[in-house]
Amino acid sequence: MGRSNYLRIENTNHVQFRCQFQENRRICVQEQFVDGAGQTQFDDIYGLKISEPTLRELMLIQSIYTAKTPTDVATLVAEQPTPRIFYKTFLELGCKSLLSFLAFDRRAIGCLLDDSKTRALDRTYPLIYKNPDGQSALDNALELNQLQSVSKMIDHMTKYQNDPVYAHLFRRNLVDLIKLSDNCAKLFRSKILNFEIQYFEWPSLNRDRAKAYAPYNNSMFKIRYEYRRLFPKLYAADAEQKLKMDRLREEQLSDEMGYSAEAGLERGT
Amino acid sequence: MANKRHNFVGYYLLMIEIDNPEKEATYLINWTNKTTIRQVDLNFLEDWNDANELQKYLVVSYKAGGCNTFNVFVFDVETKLVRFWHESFQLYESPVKGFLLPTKDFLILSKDGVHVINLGGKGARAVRDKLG
Repeated sequence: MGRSNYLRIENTNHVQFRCQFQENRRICVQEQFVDGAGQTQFDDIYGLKISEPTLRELMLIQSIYTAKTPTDVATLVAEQPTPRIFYKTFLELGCKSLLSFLAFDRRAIGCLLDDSKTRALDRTYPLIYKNPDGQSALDNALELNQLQSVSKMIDHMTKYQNDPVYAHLFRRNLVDLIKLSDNCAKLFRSKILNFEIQYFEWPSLNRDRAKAYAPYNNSMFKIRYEYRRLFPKLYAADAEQKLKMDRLREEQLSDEMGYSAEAGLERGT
Repeated sequence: MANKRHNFVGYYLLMIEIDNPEKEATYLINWTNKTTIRQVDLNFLEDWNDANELQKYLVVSYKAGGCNTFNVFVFDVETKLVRFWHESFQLYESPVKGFLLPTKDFLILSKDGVHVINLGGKGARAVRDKLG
Protein backbone atom coordinates (compact mmCIF):
# COMPACT_ATOMS: atom_id res chain seq x y z
CA MET A 1 0.00 0.00 0.00
CA GLY A 2 2.90 2.33 0.66
CA ARG A 3 3.67 2.36 -3.05
CA SER A 4 0.57 4.41 -3.76
CA ASN A 5 1.41 7.07 -1.17
CA TYR A 6 2.74 9.36 -3.86
CA LEU A 7 -0.80 9.86 -5.18
CA ARG A 8 -1.69 11.94 -2.14
CA ILE A 9 -1.71 15.68 -2.69
CA GLU A 10 -0.98 16.48 0.94
CA ASN A 11 0.06 14.50 3.99
CA THR A 12 -3.40 14.69 5.50
CA ASN A 13 -4.88 12.77 2.54
CA HIS A 14 -5.16 9.02 2.54
CA VAL A 15 -5.44 6.36 -0.12
CA GLN A 16 -8.46 4.11 -0.33
CA PHE A 17 -8.42 0.89 -2.32
CA ARG A 18 -11.90 -0.04 -3.48
CA CYS A 19 -11.55 -3.65 -4.55
CA GLN A 20 -15.11 -4.82 -3.94
CA PHE A 21 -15.62 -5.78 -7.56
CA GLN A 22 -12.78 -7.17 -9.63
CA GLU A 23 -13.90 -5.35 -12.80
CA ASN A 24 -14.25 -2.03 -10.99
CA ARG A 25 -11.16 -1.69 -8.82
CA ARG A 26 -10.31 1.88 -7.95
CA ILE A 27 -7.73 3.77 -5.99
CA CYS A 28 -9.21 6.88 -4.43
CA VAL A 29 -7.39 9.71 -2.76
CA GLN A 30 -9.57 11.02 0.04
CA GLU A 31 -9.54 13.73 2.66
CA GLN A 32 -10.95 13.04 6.10
CA PHE A 33 -12.69 15.83 7.97
CA VAL A 34 -15.12 16.40 10.79
CA ASP A 35 -18.36 18.17 9.91
CA GLY A 36 -20.34 20.63 12.00
CA ALA A 37 -22.20 17.79 13.76
CA GLY A 38 -18.92 16.15 14.82
CA GLN A 39 -19.29 13.34 12.30
CA THR A 40 -16.31 11.97 10.41
CA GLN A 41 -16.69 12.47 6.67
CA PHE A 42 -14.58 11.43 3.71
CA ASP A 43 -14.22 13.63 0.67
CA ASP A 44 -13.15 12.00 -2.62
CA ILE A 45 -10.39 14.12 -4.13
CA TYR A 46 -9.71 12.06 -7.22
CA GLY A 47 -9.56 8.43 -8.21
CA LEU A 48 -7.92 6.05 -10.63
CA LYS A 49 -9.52 3.01 -12.16
CA ILE A 50 -7.23 0.02 -12.18
CA SER A 51 -7.38 -2.11 -15.31
CA GLU A 52 -5.93 -5.51 -16.02
CA PRO A 53 -4.01 -5.64 -19.29
CA THR A 54 -5.24 -8.08 -21.90
CA LEU A 55 -2.82 -10.10 -24.01
CA ARG A 56 -3.34 -7.73 -26.93
CA GLU A 57 -2.62 -4.71 -24.74
CA LEU A 58 0.52 -6.36 -23.37
CA MET A 59 1.69 -7.02 -26.92
CA LEU A 60 1.06 -3.40 -27.87
CA ILE A 61 3.01 -2.15 -24.84
CA GLN A 62 5.84 -4.51 -25.79
CA SER A 63 5.73 -3.22 -29.38
CA ILE A 64 5.92 0.40 -28.20
CA TYR A 65 8.85 -0.53 -25.96
CA THR A 66 10.75 -2.18 -28.80
CA ALA A 67 9.95 0.49 -31.42
CA LYS A 68 13.20 1.92 -32.75
CA THR A 69 12.16 5.47 -33.65
CA PRO A 70 9.61 7.97 -32.31
CA THR A 71 7.93 7.79 -35.73
CA ASP A 72 7.30 4.06 -35.19
CA VAL A 73 5.76 4.84 -31.80
CA ALA A 74 3.53 7.55 -33.29
CA THR A 75 2.45 5.18 -36.07
CA LEU A 76 1.61 2.45 -33.55
CA VAL A 77 -0.46 4.91 -31.51
CA ALA A 78 -2.28 6.28 -34.56
CA GLU A 79 -3.07 2.82 -35.95
CA GLN A 80 -4.95 1.62 -32.89
CA PRO A 81 -8.70 1.23 -33.54
CA THR A 82 -9.48 2.77 -30.17
CA PRO A 83 -7.18 4.79 -27.92
CA ARG A 84 -8.75 3.30 -24.78
CA ILE A 85 -5.61 1.40 -23.79
CA PHE A 86 -3.66 4.66 -23.53
CA TYR A 87 -6.19 6.05 -21.06
CA LYS A 88 -6.02 3.03 -18.77
CA THR A 89 -4.07 2.73 -15.54
CA PHE A 90 -2.18 -0.49 -14.92
CA LEU A 91 -0.66 -1.58 -11.63
CA GLU A 92 1.96 -3.36 -13.74
CA LEU A 93 3.17 0.02 -14.99
CA GLY A 94 3.39 1.44 -11.47
CA CYS A 95 -0.06 3.09 -11.64
CA LYS A 96 1.11 5.24 -14.54
CA SER A 97 -0.93 5.67 -17.69
CA LEU A 98 0.76 5.14 -21.04
CA LEU A 99 0.39 8.87 -21.69
CA SER A 100 3.28 9.57 -19.28
CA PHE A 101 5.52 7.21 -21.24
CA LEU A 102 4.52 8.74 -24.57
CA ALA A 103 4.94 12.36 -23.44
CA PHE A 104 8.25 12.59 -25.32
CA ASP A 105 6.52 12.53 -28.71
CA ARG A 106 4.23 15.36 -29.80
CA ARG A 107 2.64 13.30 -32.60
CA ALA A 108 1.57 10.52 -30.24
CA ILE A 109 0.23 13.02 -27.70
CA GLY A 110 -1.51 14.99 -30.43
CA CYS A 111 -3.20 11.81 -31.62
CA LEU A 112 -4.25 10.70 -28.12
CA LEU A 113 -5.59 14.04 -26.97
CA ASP A 114 -7.42 14.78 -30.18
CA ASP A 115 -11.07 15.70 -29.57
CA SER A 116 -12.30 12.88 -31.81
CA LYS A 117 -10.31 10.32 -29.77
CA THR A 118 -11.18 11.53 -26.28
CA ARG A 119 -14.72 10.18 -26.72
CA ALA A 120 -13.32 6.89 -25.45
CA LEU A 121 -12.14 8.62 -22.28
CA ASP A 122 -13.91 8.05 -18.96
CA ARG A 123 -14.17 11.59 -17.65
CA THR A 124 -14.56 10.43 -14.04
CA TYR A 125 -10.88 9.58 -13.86
CA PRO A 126 -7.96 11.87 -14.64
CA LEU A 127 -5.52 11.19 -17.43
CA ILE A 128 -2.80 13.49 -16.21
CA TYR A 129 -1.85 12.93 -12.58
CA LYS A 130 1.13 12.63 -10.30
CA ASN A 131 3.56 9.79 -11.02
CA PRO A 132 5.78 7.98 -8.49
CA ASP A 133 8.62 10.43 -9.17
CA GLY A 134 6.34 13.34 -8.24
CA GLN A 135 6.11 14.51 -11.84
CA SER A 136 3.28 14.22 -14.32
CA ALA A 137 3.07 13.66 -18.08
CA LEU A 138 3.00 17.46 -18.37
CA ASP A 139 6.36 17.77 -16.59
CA ASN A 140 7.85 15.06 -18.80
CA ALA A 141 6.75 16.90 -21.94
CA LEU A 142 7.96 20.23 -20.56
CA GLU A 143 11.37 18.81 -19.70
CA LEU A 144 11.76 17.58 -23.27
CA ASN A 145 10.62 20.95 -24.61
CA GLN A 146 7.57 19.41 -26.31
CA LEU A 147 5.57 22.61 -26.27
CA GLN A 148 2.83 21.37 -28.59
CA SER A 149 2.29 18.40 -26.29
CA VAL A 150 2.21 20.73 -23.28
CA SER A 151 -0.32 22.93 -24.99
CA LYS A 152 -2.49 19.90 -25.84
CA MET A 153 -2.28 18.64 -22.26
CA ILE A 154 -3.31 22.02 -20.85
CA ASP A 155 -6.23 22.06 -23.30
CA HIS A 156 -7.20 18.58 -22.12
CA MET A 157 -6.92 19.49 -18.45
CA THR A 158 -8.98 22.65 -18.77
CA LYS A 159 -11.64 20.62 -20.57
CA TYR A 160 -11.76 17.29 -18.73
CA GLN A 161 -9.85 17.83 -15.49
CA ASN A 162 -11.18 21.26 -14.72
CA ASP A 163 -10.98 20.96 -10.96
CA PRO A 164 -8.84 22.73 -8.33
CA VAL A 165 -7.58 19.39 -6.97
CA TYR A 166 -5.26 19.21 -9.99
CA ALA A 167 -3.64 22.56 -9.17
CA HIS A 168 -0.81 20.66 -7.45
CA LEU A 169 0.39 19.51 -10.89
CA PHE A 170 1.40 23.13 -11.60
CA ARG A 171 3.13 23.76 -8.29
CA ARG A 172 6.65 23.45 -9.66
CA ASN A 173 6.31 24.11 -13.36
CA LEU A 174 4.15 27.22 -13.52
CA VAL A 175 7.08 29.60 -14.07
CA ASP A 176 8.39 27.46 -16.94
CA LEU A 177 4.91 27.24 -18.39
CA ILE A 178 4.47 31.01 -18.33
CA LYS A 179 7.85 31.39 -20.03
CA LEU A 180 7.35 28.75 -22.69
CA SER A 181 3.71 27.95 -23.27
CA ASP A 182 1.21 30.19 -25.02
CA ASN A 183 -1.74 28.40 -23.46
CA CYS A 184 -1.41 29.75 -19.93
CA ALA A 185 -4.27 32.26 -20.20
CA LYS A 186 -6.68 29.36 -20.57
CA LEU A 187 -5.17 27.71 -17.52
CA PHE A 188 -5.43 30.84 -15.39
CA ARG A 189 -9.07 31.27 -16.38
CA SER A 190 -9.93 27.63 -15.67
CA LYS A 191 -11.26 26.21 -12.42
CA ILE A 192 -7.93 24.47 -11.85
CA LEU A 193 -6.37 27.67 -10.57
CA ASN A 194 -9.62 29.29 -9.40
CA PHE A 195 -10.98 27.60 -6.33
CA GLU A 196 -14.65 28.27 -5.69
CA ILE A 197 -15.25 27.72 -2.00
CA GLN A 198 -18.46 25.78 -1.42
CA TYR A 199 -18.33 24.49 2.12
CA PHE A 200 -21.05 24.25 4.69
CA GLU A 201 -18.78 26.19 7.07
CA TRP A 202 -18.67 29.15 4.66
CA PRO A 203 -21.66 31.42 3.96
CA SER A 204 -23.17 30.99 0.52
CA LEU A 205 -24.72 34.48 0.57
CA ASN A 206 -23.68 37.76 2.05
CA ARG A 207 -25.15 41.27 2.09
CA ASP A 208 -21.75 42.68 1.20
CA ARG A 209 -21.22 41.76 -2.46
CA ALA A 210 -17.86 43.51 -2.87
CA LYS A 211 -14.82 41.33 -3.61
CA ALA A 212 -12.83 40.57 -0.50
CA TYR A 213 -9.19 39.54 -0.50
CA ALA A 214 -7.33 37.71 2.25
CA PRO A 215 -3.90 36.08 2.23
CA TYR A 216 -3.87 32.33 2.81
CA ASN A 217 -0.86 30.07 2.55
CA ASN A 218 -1.97 26.76 3.95
CA SER A 219 -3.57 23.54 2.79
CA MET A 220 -6.48 23.83 0.35
CA PHE A 221 -8.24 21.16 2.41
CA LYS A 222 -8.01 23.17 5.62
CA ILE A 223 -9.59 26.31 4.19
CA ARG A 224 -12.92 24.75 5.11
CA TYR A 225 -12.41 25.87 8.73
CA GLU A 226 -10.68 29.18 8.04
CA TYR A 227 -13.55 31.58 7.28
CA ARG A 228 -13.53 33.00 10.80
CA ARG A 229 -9.78 33.68 10.72
CA LEU A 230 -9.61 34.97 7.14
CA PHE A 231 -12.56 37.33 7.28
CA PRO A 232 -13.04 38.22 10.98
CA LYS A 233 -15.13 41.35 10.28
CA LEU A 234 -17.50 39.53 7.95
CA TYR A 235 -17.72 36.64 10.39
CA ALA A 236 -18.60 39.02 13.25
CA ALA A 237 -21.23 40.76 11.06
CA ASP A 238 -22.69 37.35 10.10
CA ALA A 239 -22.81 36.25 13.75
CA GLU A 240 -24.53 39.50 14.75
CA GLN A 241 -27.05 39.12 11.94
CA LYS A 242 -27.71 35.53 12.95
CA LEU A 243 -28.27 36.58 16.55
CA LYS A 244 -30.75 39.26 15.41
CA MET A 245 -32.64 36.75 13.26
CA ASP A 246 -32.78 34.26 16.15
CA ARG A 247 -34.18 36.95 18.48
CA LEU A 248 -36.75 37.99 15.89
CA ARG A 249 -37.80 34.37 15.41
CA GLU A 250 -38.13 33.88 19.17
CA GLU A 251 -40.26 37.03 19.45
CA GLN A 252 -42.50 35.91 16.58
CA LEU A 253 -42.85 32.49 18.14
CA SER A 254 -43.77 33.90 21.56
CA ASP A 255 -46.30 36.27 19.91
CA GLU A 256 -47.87 33.35 18.04
CA MET A 257 -48.00 31.25 21.22
CA GLY A 258 -49.57 34.14 23.15
CA TYR A 259 -52.15 34.61 20.40
CA SER A 260 -53.03 30.92 20.33
CA ALA A 261 -53.29 30.83 24.16
CA GLU A 262 -55.68 33.79 24.06
CA ALA A 263 -57.74 32.11 21.34
CA GLY A 264 -57.92 28.94 23.44
CA LEU A 265 -59.12 30.85 26.48
CA GLU A 266 -61.82 32.56 24.38
CA ARG A 267 -62.98 29.19 23.02
CA GLY A 268 -63.04 27.77 26.56
CA THR A 269 -65.26 30.57 27.80
CA MET B 1 -14.34 0.20 18.84
CA ALA B 2 -18.14 0.33 18.92
CA ASN B 3 -20.96 -0.29 16.49
CA LYS B 4 -23.57 1.73 18.34
CA ARG B 5 -23.54 5.17 19.94
CA HIS B 6 -26.58 6.89 21.42
CA ASN B 7 -28.69 4.21 19.69
CA PHE B 8 -27.24 5.05 16.27
CA VAL B 9 -25.52 2.27 14.37
CA GLY B 10 -22.19 3.22 12.83
CA TYR B 11 -18.47 2.97 13.04
CA TYR B 12 -17.05 4.51 16.19
CA LEU B 13 -13.42 4.19 17.09
CA LEU B 14 -12.25 5.98 20.19
CA MET B 15 -9.12 6.32 22.28
CA ILE B 16 -9.31 6.40 26.06
CA GLU B 17 -6.40 7.57 28.19
CA ILE B 18 -5.31 4.58 30.26
CA ASP B 19 -4.22 6.68 33.26
CA ASN B 20 -7.32 8.82 33.19
CA PRO B 21 -10.21 6.75 31.82
CA GLU B 22 -12.79 9.31 32.91
CA LYS B 23 -11.30 11.95 30.62
CA GLU B 24 -13.31 12.58 27.47
CA ALA B 25 -12.49 10.02 24.76
CA THR B 26 -10.83 11.05 21.50
CA TYR B 27 -12.68 9.81 18.44
CA LEU B 28 -10.58 8.54 15.56
CA ILE B 29 -13.78 7.82 13.67
CA ASN B 30 -17.25 9.01 14.55
CA TRP B 31 -19.25 7.86 11.57
CA THR B 32 -22.95 7.12 11.76
CA ASN B 33 -23.19 5.06 8.58
CA LYS B 34 -26.03 2.67 9.55
CA THR B 35 -23.76 -0.31 8.85
CA THR B 36 -23.54 -3.26 11.17
CA ILE B 37 -20.05 -4.62 11.61
CA ARG B 38 -18.63 -7.91 12.80
CA GLN B 39 -15.36 -9.79 13.08
CA VAL B 40 -13.43 -6.79 14.35
CA ASP B 41 -9.68 -7.03 14.87
CA LEU B 42 -7.36 -4.36 16.22
CA ASN B 43 -3.59 -4.56 15.87
CA PHE B 44 -0.68 -2.20 16.35
CA LEU B 45 1.78 -1.80 13.52
CA GLU B 46 5.18 -0.15 13.82
CA ASP B 47 6.30 1.42 10.58
CA TRP B 48 8.28 4.28 9.10
CA ASN B 49 6.36 7.50 8.59
CA ASP B 50 6.82 10.19 5.90
CA ALA B 51 9.64 11.75 7.94
CA ASN B 52 11.46 8.36 8.07
CA GLU B 53 10.82 7.86 11.78
CA LEU B 54 9.42 4.73 13.40
CA GLN B 55 5.86 5.28 14.46
CA LYS B 56 2.94 3.26 15.75
CA TYR B 57 -0.14 2.78 13.62
CA LEU B 58 -3.42 1.19 14.53
CA VAL B 59 -4.78 -1.43 12.14
CA VAL B 60 -8.52 -1.99 12.34
CA SER B 61 -10.34 -4.61 10.29
CA TYR B 62 -13.98 -5.60 10.16
CA LYS B 63 -16.64 -6.93 7.84
CA ALA B 64 -19.58 -4.70 7.10
CA GLY B 65 -23.16 -5.77 6.47
CA GLY B 66 -25.28 -4.33 3.68
CA CYS B 67 -22.42 -3.43 1.42
CA ASN B 68 -20.76 -6.85 2.02
CA THR B 69 -17.23 -5.59 2.36
CA PHE B 70 -14.18 -6.39 4.44
CA ASN B 71 -12.42 -3.21 5.46
CA VAL B 72 -8.89 -2.71 6.68
CA PHE B 73 -8.03 0.71 8.08
CA VAL B 74 -4.61 1.93 9.10
CA PHE B 75 -4.78 4.89 11.47
CA ASP B 76 -2.00 7.27 12.30
CA VAL B 77 -2.31 7.45 16.07
CA GLU B 78 -0.52 10.81 16.26
CA THR B 79 -2.42 12.75 13.61
CA LYS B 80 -5.60 10.70 14.29
CA LEU B 81 -6.18 10.42 10.57
CA VAL B 82 -6.66 7.45 8.29
CA ARG B 83 -3.49 6.49 6.43
CA PHE B 84 -4.80 3.61 4.31
CA TRP B 85 -8.15 2.08 3.72
CA HIS B 86 -8.61 -1.17 1.86
CA GLU B 87 -12.10 -2.33 0.96
CA SER B 88 -12.71 -5.76 -0.58
CA PHE B 89 -15.70 -7.99 -1.16
CA GLN B 90 -16.77 -10.22 1.72
CA LEU B 91 -20.19 -11.77 2.15
CA TYR B 92 -21.46 -10.72 5.58
CA GLU B 93 -22.82 -14.18 6.34
CA SER B 94 -19.58 -15.91 5.43
CA PRO B 95 -16.82 -16.34 8.05
CA VAL B 96 -13.62 -14.35 7.71
CA LYS B 97 -10.58 -13.71 9.87
CA GLY B 98 -8.01 -10.99 9.43
CA PHE B 99 -4.77 -10.60 11.33
CA LEU B 100 -1.49 -8.75 11.10
CA LEU B 101 1.78 -10.59 10.58
CA PRO B 102 5.18 -9.42 11.91
CA THR B 103 6.17 -8.84 8.27
CA LYS B 104 3.64 -5.95 8.16
CA ASP B 105 1.41 -8.04 5.92
CA PHE B 106 -2.26 -8.26 6.69
CA LEU B 107 -3.64 -11.72 6.07
CA ILE B 108 -7.34 -12.26 5.34
CA LEU B 109 -8.59 -15.83 5.57
CA SER B 110 -12.00 -16.47 4.11
CA LYS B 111 -13.87 -19.12 2.16
CA ASP B 112 -12.60 -17.49 -1.05
CA GLY B 113 -9.01 -18.14 -0.03
CA VAL B 114 -6.12 -16.15 1.39
CA HIS B 115 -5.57 -12.47 0.64
CA VAL B 116 -2.40 -10.67 1.59
CA ILE B 117 -2.20 -6.88 1.87
CA ASN B 118 1.13 -5.26 2.52
CA LEU B 119 0.56 -2.44 4.98
CA GLY B 120 4.15 -1.27 5.16
CA GLY B 121 4.94 2.23 3.92
CA LYS B 122 8.02 1.07 2.02
CA GLY B 123 7.58 -0.40 -1.49
CA ALA B 124 6.22 -3.76 -2.50
CA ARG B 125 7.88 -7.13 -2.13
CA ALA B 126 7.29 -10.52 -3.69
CA VAL B 127 5.18 -12.98 -1.67
CA ARG B 128 5.86 -16.65 -2.35
CA ASP B 129 4.27 -19.87 -1.14
CA LYS B 130 6.24 -22.94 -0.10
CA LEU B 131 6.46 -24.06 -3.73
CA GLY B 132 8.25 -20.82 -4.61
